Amino acid sequence: MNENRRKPDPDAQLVARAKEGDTAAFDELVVKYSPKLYGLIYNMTSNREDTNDVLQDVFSKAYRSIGRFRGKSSFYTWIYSIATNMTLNFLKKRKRRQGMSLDDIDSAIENDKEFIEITSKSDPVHEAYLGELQIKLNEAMQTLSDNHRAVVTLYDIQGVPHTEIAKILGVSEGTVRSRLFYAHRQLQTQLGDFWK
Amino acid sequence: MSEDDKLQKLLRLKNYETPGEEYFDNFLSDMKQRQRLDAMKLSPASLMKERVVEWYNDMGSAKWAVPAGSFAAVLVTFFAFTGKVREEQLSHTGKTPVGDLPGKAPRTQIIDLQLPEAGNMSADKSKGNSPVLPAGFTGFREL
Repeated sequence: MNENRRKPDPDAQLVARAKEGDTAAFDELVVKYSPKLYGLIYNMTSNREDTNDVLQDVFSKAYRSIGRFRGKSSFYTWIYSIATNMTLNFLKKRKRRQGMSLDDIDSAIENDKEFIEITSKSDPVHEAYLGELQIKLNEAMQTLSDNHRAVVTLYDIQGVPHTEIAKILGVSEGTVRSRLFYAHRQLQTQLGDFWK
Repeated sequence: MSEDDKLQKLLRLKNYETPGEEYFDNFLSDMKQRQRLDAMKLSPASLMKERVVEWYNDMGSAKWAVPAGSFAAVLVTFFAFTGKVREEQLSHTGKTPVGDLPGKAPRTQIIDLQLPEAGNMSADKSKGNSPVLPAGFTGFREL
């Protein structure tokens, strides 16, 4: 079987209907992709309000542009590249507006039900250690450049393969791998004391 | 477990940082409300700008040809325009290019060379009145 042959886009039907003006089809796409895109934007901005604003903007833009979507890539790659580029632009504007302060970092994970559930399965010492490590990780993520954070978010958190990340960001696969390498090294340096 | 594996496991935990189902239930209606507001706010000019930017970004690697082509077109237009203006100025004033003006020195100057007459070209050694050789010159000594 030819591996280079593209798999059929699972969203092709919904996209075709949305292009014809079927708003219900577009709504289905929003419902399907909003949790994944929320995770992507949140891990890049570290702020829930900003994430909500950017996510709404992403779908508004996708709605206005879907008529011009020619299906050269899958809808998934297309919407991810809109979300990534809009978040990177947003981060640039936010940096100009105000210097990033640690107050912006949302450490809501400590109160996250599912996170508590996961950590409560271990002993209290381990739980405290994990909680502290998670906060430290959030801080370390903020020290990465926007481009490096985007690659870490897409690959390590969202599980997007290298080839797709390259298409989403419009860079080579080598660039993706090199960004990942440097980002991991930087995160490990930041978390150095906690590994021991 | 290597440090890289530990880091990846820890990063995967960030998937749990989600706002919960209630947020996503309300998200669609919030978004539609905002879309309606945005549609009222967006001017045709800003929509046009967004479409041009998208068209440019969709061009891929060929997008670099656009600024180069535009620059070349501007240069050609500029030179064509300035050439036409000069031609028009000259035809309005009835002027001809400076080199062709009467009374002005021509660009190439013709100098009449005055050579000696054909009979005087060879030096008369016996008389010693050569226009070229010094007086008293009798000839070269043969070695």
